[in-house]
This record gives sequence, structure tokens and C-alpha cells, in this order.
Amino acid sequence: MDVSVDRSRNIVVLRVSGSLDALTAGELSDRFSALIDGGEARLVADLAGLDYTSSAGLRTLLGALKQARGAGGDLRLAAVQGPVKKVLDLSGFSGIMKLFSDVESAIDSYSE
Amino acid sequence: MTARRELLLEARPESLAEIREFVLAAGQDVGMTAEAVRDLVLAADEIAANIVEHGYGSAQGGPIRVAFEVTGEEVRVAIEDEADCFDVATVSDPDLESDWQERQIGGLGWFLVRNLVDEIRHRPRTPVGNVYELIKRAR
Repeated sequence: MDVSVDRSRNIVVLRVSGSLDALTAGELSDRFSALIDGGEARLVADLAGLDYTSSAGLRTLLGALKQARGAGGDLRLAAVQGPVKKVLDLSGFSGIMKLFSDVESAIDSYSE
Repeated sequence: MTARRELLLEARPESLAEIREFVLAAGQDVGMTAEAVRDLVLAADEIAANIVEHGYGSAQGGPIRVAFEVTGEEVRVAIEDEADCFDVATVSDPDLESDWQERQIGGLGWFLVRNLVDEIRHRPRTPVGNVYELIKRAR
């Protein structure tokens, strides 16, 4: 699992690729927390390269969502792939998070 | 025709990827659809992750045995441990209707397992441990 961080128009974009499971989800949780604790709570997760998540990844996303919204920001998801989308739908997460087909749309949504 | 293969490894977070690869390869080899094998891989990961995180408690891991077997149209993945007996029935589903502030972190793993496979069976293992069986029918 790899995470790279970029900033665009004051929005932090985390590109997450590979697989999220009980081994790797903690690293992503730490990256989210560090950003939000540092005052950057308007986040987009670019999931184009994420081909797998288990419930460990869902817990990471939910934890970051709560923390970001609690800090006045949000965590929005972009380019969610089929297998990950299925898990988000099944768990009801796609009903409580905002999903976008691409990163630009997700970034734009913060301006609306 | 019955085909059976087994994997024995330690209950560590690093083992989860190997378990996924094992189930993926086995499922592909017997001609499961891509979605069916993905469902089975995730269900196996959830069971194994639960063993890794809770099964052996503070002990430094223990064995996990994963067996993949096909009988007719039934694909069966059995996951065994030697940890304390765990009653699957005690895990309740998460509340899917709650909003983001109320959503609880727990309970997601078992919920996914129940919704990804056709049947889950659990029985105690002799002399100690658990056997979890994931059944997926009609590949």
C-alpha cells in the first residue's frame, strides 16, 4: 500500500494505491491524522489505484471522516474502483461519504 | 471432483496478503467468476484478520490453517486456529442507517463475511481452537 500527498487549491489530495488490510490500514490512518491534527482537514482520497480494501480500510476511512468533519472539513473519495465500491456500498459507507468519479470533481466540490 | 489444497502459516498481519493470494489463485484455478473469487478472498481475509487481532490475545501469534476445497458446485474455504473459542453469533450487525456521527467502527468485518458468502459455519476444534468454513455455491 502506497500513499502520496499533494496539495491543490488548498485541498489535500492523498493518492492511495495497492491494498488496504489490517497490516496496511494503520499507516493510512496515521497519515490522515497527521494532516488533520496539522490543521489540514479538507481532504480528497484519490482511490484510482486502490484495488482492494477489507473492513480495516473501512475503519480507517470512517475514522478519518469523523475526524475531518469534526475539524470543520471533510474526506471525499475520488475514482473508487469496482471492488472497493462494492464494499463501500455493502457497508453503507457510500451513503455517508461523498464519492466523485475523478479528483478534479472532488476538489471542485469544496468550492460549492 | 474434489480438489483440496492447504496453507499453514502464523497469525500475523503480514500473513493476510499470503492468505488472500492463496484463495485467489485457488478460486481462479477452479474457474470461479472474478466477483465470486473476490468475495471469497475478502471473507477469508476478514476471518483471518479477526484471528490475528483477537484470536491469540496477547500471545505472539499462533497457527492459522487455510484449506480450499471444491465438491461439486460448492467451494469451501476452512480456516482453523488454536485460539480461544469464538462464538460468531455474538457479533451483531452494524447499524447501516445511522449517520456518520453515530456510525460505529466495530462489527463491519463479520457483516461483510455474512454478506459475501452463501454460508458460514463455525465449530470448536479439538483439542483447542476454532474452525470457520466459508461456503460459496455455483461459481
